[in-house]
Amino acid sequence: MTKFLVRRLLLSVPILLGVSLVVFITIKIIPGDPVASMLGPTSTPEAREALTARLGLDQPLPVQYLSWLAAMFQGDLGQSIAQQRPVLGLVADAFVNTLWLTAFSAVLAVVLGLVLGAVAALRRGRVAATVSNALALFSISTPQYTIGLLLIIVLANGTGWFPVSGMYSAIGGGTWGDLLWHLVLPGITAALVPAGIIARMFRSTVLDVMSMDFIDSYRARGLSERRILWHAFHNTTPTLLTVAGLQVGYLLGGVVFVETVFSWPGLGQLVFDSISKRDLAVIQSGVMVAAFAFVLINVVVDLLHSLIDPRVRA
Amino acid sequence: MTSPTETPETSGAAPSRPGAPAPTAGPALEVTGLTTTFSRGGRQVLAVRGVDVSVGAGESLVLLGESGSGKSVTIRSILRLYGSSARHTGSVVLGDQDLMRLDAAAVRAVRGRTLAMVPQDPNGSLDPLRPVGRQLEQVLRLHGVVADRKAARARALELLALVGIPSPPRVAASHPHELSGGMRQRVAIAIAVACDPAVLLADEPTTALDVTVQSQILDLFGDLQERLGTALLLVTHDVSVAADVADRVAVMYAGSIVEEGPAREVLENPRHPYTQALLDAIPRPTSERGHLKAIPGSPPVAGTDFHGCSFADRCALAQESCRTQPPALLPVADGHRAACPVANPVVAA
Repeated sequence: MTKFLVRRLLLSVPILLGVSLVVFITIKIIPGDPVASMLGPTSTPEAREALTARLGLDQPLPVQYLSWLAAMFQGDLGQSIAQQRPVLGLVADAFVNTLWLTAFSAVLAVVLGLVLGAVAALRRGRVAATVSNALALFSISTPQYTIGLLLIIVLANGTGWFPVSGMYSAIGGGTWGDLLWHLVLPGITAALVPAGIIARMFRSTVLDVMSMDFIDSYRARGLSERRILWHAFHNTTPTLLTVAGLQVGYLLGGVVFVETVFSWPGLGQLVFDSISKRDLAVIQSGVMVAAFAFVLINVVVDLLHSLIDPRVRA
Repeated sequence: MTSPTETPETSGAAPSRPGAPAPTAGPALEVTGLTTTFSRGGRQVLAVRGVDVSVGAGESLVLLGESGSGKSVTIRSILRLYGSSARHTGSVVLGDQDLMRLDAAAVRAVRGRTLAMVPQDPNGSLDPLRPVGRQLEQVLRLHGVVADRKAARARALELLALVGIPSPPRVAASHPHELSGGMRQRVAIAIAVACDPAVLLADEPTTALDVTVQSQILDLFGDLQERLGTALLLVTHDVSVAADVADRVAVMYAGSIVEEGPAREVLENPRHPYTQALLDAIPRPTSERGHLKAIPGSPPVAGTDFHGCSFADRCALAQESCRTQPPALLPVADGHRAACPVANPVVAA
């Protein structure tokens, strides 16, 4: 078990290095000169040169990459050009906010996905299953920004039941209840696509497992249908865990749209804003943190998977 | 359970053996007129067409037939495993209960307790995520044959030893994928005999195993029957398996039994043209090289309607009456019945 974990962790090192390289190269390729955008169009060439040298941008690319990596290892993510603050604090705050949203949507997505998938599988051929399938398909195929805006129009602006945007109320905010209230609409919006994917996967996995020989053997041993369902569910957990884990990973890095629509002060919004401001250090760090979280979730999923399913513990 | 003084004479169909429970009056399992009908896309498919079989305590009956003859459906129907997806008529009498007239809960109480099944493929019949010992303990506790967890654990180890597993504690803690096919089938058999059932149903229990393991498993059945006095109803397509374990053989074709009798009688002196053709089709070392006798034509597709004999279209002896008159299973010798009036004309009343 320990060996499995160590190997799995070691394997994630090259993945993260690869991600860092891609991020670095992307930043270098995208058009726009950070120095020019910092100093403005009226700056002198001398001033620009001086800043370029101070930021190390006159060094060869491999040197720039390695010094960025080295700094990252020491916890120095650089300075935000736009906000004149250390990137570490910015990214950390935003990441925590994103974690809240992700955790909330993940719970919603898994619960909704399991219910829809189970109904679709166990009530096959009946109206309930057709409705479940339709809902799952709908939630996969509707774009997040459409849903987000619709929810805002109907449930926030229209009825005033939920806040339009943000994470806490300006006045009297900051309580758990307030946070939860703000989480509902962005949470639902972010949860729909993963819920649909989990539903469809869970449906086919339940059908697969229910058609396996051992289910029949359980029946022949005299178990009740309820206990058989329980064993069937147990056998869907490895697949469920893998798919749900992947979806949570996507959520973590992919709530950009939702955060933008709902002005959620998370990592997605931070990176999105930083792109328009050419705030390169923030973009780099934001993407790296999201990638790191994604890899970490996958390691955790693999670990849980191996705890549930002895066949992968090799 | 333990039979200290075992006499080696176990020939023939002697139902009472030393160590076996006191023989009950009548057969352990008596199936009469069993039919199974499935609904397939609005069509009614009759898969089992009125099967009569009975097995006594300690006796083994082999249902022999080719794929699609309805033999597996028959034993799964006996356990009512098709639930609401099949309709049945006839009766399945076990002790003093007719399974066909019991409600779902009562059927569950019988399954695994007095009527247990050894499934076909040991690779798929065990829950892959649970240690096999736990699955064994579950059955014991489910049917209340042990007092508590501790007793279940102890009994599970005993059962694993009973089916010839060399190190029960290690195997009990193993998951199915850590065991060989033969080991898995032994575990499946241990689960089946866990509650000391009156009747053991076995659905091609050796098909998925290689030949050497196959004979070990068949020996195990014989051994367990001797020790526990269990009646065995085993389904196979393999004539050599039938010859190996059967006291009596029932030959099945297209959903009905065409011949039935003592194993020796049926296999050495077959009276039905289908049985004769089936036995002729077995390749033997003495048969001419490159020539395998096959039965011309192919078996009727399940659900085909026919009025007369189901084998008439492939039978060399078929007469006009065969296609209109359904043949009855009539006695042809002592304890030997066949459903072919042409090959076995009634001599005298």
